[in-house]
Amino acid sequence: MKKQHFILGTIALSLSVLASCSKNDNDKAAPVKPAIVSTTVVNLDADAANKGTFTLYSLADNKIIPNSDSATTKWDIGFKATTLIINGGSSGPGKATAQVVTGIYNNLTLAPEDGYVTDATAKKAITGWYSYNMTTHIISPVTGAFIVLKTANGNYAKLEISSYYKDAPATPTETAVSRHYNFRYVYQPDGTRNFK
Amino acid sequence: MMRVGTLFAQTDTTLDSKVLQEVVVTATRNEQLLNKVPIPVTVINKQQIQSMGAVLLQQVLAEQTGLFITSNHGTGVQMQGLEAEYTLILLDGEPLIGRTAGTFDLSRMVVSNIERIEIIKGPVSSLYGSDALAGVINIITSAGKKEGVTSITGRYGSNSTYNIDGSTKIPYTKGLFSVNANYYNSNGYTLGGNTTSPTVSPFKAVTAQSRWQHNWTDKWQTILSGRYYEQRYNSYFSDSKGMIDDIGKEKDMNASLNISNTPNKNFTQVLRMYYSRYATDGEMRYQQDKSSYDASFFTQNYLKPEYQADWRIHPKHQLTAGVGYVHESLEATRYDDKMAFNTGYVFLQENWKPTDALNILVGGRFDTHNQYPSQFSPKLSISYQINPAWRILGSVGRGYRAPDFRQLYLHFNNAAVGYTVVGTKLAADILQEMQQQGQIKKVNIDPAQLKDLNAESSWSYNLGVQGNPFVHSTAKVNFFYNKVNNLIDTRAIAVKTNDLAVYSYVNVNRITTWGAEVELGQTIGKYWQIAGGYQYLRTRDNDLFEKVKRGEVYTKDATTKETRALTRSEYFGLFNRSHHAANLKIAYIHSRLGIDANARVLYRSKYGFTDENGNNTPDTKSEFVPGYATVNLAAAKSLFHQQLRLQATLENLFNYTDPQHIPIMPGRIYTTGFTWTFRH
Repeated sequence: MKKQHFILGTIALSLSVLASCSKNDNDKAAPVKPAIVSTTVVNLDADAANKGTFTLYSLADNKIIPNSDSATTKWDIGFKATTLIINGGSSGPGKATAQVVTGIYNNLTLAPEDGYVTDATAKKAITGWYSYNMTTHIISPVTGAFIVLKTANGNYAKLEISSYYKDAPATPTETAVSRHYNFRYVYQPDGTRNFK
Repeated sequence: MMRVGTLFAQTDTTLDSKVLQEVVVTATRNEQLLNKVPIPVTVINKQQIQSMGAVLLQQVLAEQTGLFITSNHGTGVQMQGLEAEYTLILLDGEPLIGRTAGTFDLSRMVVSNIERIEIIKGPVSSLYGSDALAGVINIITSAGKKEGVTSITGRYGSNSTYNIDGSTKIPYTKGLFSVNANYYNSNGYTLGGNTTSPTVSPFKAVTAQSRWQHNWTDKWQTILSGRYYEQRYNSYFSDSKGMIDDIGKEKDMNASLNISNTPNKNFTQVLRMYYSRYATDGEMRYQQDKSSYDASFFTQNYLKPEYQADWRIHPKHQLTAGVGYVHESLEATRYDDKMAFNTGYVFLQENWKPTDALNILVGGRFDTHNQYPSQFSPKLSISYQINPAWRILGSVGRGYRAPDFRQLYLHFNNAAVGYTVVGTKLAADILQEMQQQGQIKKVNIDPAQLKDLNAESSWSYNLGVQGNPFVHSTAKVNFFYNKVNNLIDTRAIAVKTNDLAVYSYVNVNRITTWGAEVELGQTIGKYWQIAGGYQYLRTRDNDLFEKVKRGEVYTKDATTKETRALTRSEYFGLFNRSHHAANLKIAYIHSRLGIDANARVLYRSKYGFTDENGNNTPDTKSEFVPGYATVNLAAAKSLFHQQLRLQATLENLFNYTDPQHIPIMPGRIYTTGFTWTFRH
């Protein structure tokens, strides 16, 4: 099958307890409020080999979900070149909806109540997040644009893409390796719109 | 190299006393003394053009205070912070046609037989109608002097650029006949090791011009003139299937007949017939099998009869009135049918001199057009001589620029990419047709709204002083403010089933440009002249700036790397506009020894080049072109009683290049040339 080559590094920048955020920790036994984690993902391969497949990602678990699980709700968001899909509507069985909002990522402490759309074959929910330079052919994230989504399971997250290039060079040139996403996100597991 | 601070400059200050009696025509459409006309006029005379060793018009304009040479579908000129499409280019008072995407390519004009160039900054739509929004550049070829001269010039330089020029002027009792021919060749150049296509393609151009002036009686005069230009370029590029040759031709001709009648010294009337044609023909073929990649043509015709009368009603009142008609037609690959434009116009101007010190010019022009709303362009200019050394000048006026052919009638399907561009007049019909064919998914803007695309228009204010601060020195200061409304921009009016857009044109943006210009000149001793010029320029997209004020435009902070609102002071302004520009010229002229030499330094500060991060304004470092300075040198020596003149020039002494941002700037360029002049 397809051998995918991922260079994936994650840094968990939890302000509170780093220990409490291991994967199997969120069972009902602990009545404590789950911590909100800010996560940074670097160099996520988004079909760099141009095979036509999406790289599926779980925001809840902070990991890549194999394509064999594409028909499940295990993944939240998928990346293929500049196209982003979310697990819902025409893209997957989940109930994910999303919108691109304009503003300052750090200042958004409460997700918008409405404005979310589902993926449709013709129009994906996430558009307008990047700017294409016709002369240099460089793809740059639109400054001040970021994504707020409801994940496959209906939880809120906000996500900001910082670079489309490997190792996120400050000024990508034509030799920069594209289709490598660098982004950060905040996932709120408790179902509220709070990002604080 | 050069700091912006104290540097003022300007290349055109000649400080001879005879300049004070210099006559200009562009500001009022009749002869006026340069030091009396209430509108600031910059004059570049033949001697200045020759001392630079310039061959093409853009070389001359590039060294003028407040002008920038731009490259967008041809070499254009930016004036008072407004792009090339807003400046009207005239040849002996008649408009030059053949603009591509708004730009009149200045490299089509060789300067060899130019007597002088008059530049007016600020709108003159009150006399010339459309396109005279930022200003007017009038290229004047007719000589004032009736002297018989024949000359031949040869020049050779870097990039195998050479030109040969011959001209003769034959005066006779009742008239003057002149003819000029020029051949220009350039092998082009390639910067930065680009192998897929040349930075500037090799091209050859021929220009031929002639003029016959005859005074039939004291009262009747005719002037018949014609110009022909032909250019061929050879370029190449590649796509996935191989190399493609791109060969094209550009032809341009104009002819005019002026019949003037002066029944008495207070009245003159002129009938002008002007015809111009501009045509391009391009063919792209694969090198391998000679199969066609693309072929295109463009033919534009322009016919203008015009009548003008100048009547001195009273020693203090001079009235100028005119009426004219323009018929323009166009046929091209990207247009469905042959298109025709008709404009009728009248203009009226009163020059009132209530006192010796006060000069008031009030006028306006009304243009009625079959394709867009009628335009009325008034202008008021006043000058006041405070004392013998100083005068102040102020003006307020409206300028406009008509929607052009493509904005009204283009019909272009980009087969390779899949989008469509339609002119506003065709939008409704084409969209309906596409809908019937099932090509349209969604309509964003009702095409009925587009029907009345209006002209872009401005209100402009200029206020300045001119004078002589010291003996043998000149000073000019001008403040300008232009507010342009109804800017035409492209909008996606519908989405096709292939998810690409159908574009058309709408009036949306509003921009403001303002700033100040200073020019100083000083003669030192018998042989030295020094001149400097400086322009401070600020520009603003008004709607975007409103968003900046509301904190809705974002930038990435250079230190924290976090997104934050762009502050008002960080808003740089429109793209391609430098805040500071300066020039400094030092000339040594020793007539007895036949030597003239000069050094010119040109500086422009950083300017926005492109938007990379989607906030529509230059903010990060890579979105700017860094500021730079260039130094040009020229030296000439005359021999054999000034019959032979030898000249060497060195442009761009320090070999400054920036291929990514400024492809039109080759590196260091050397030229040598000679002119043999024979007086008869």
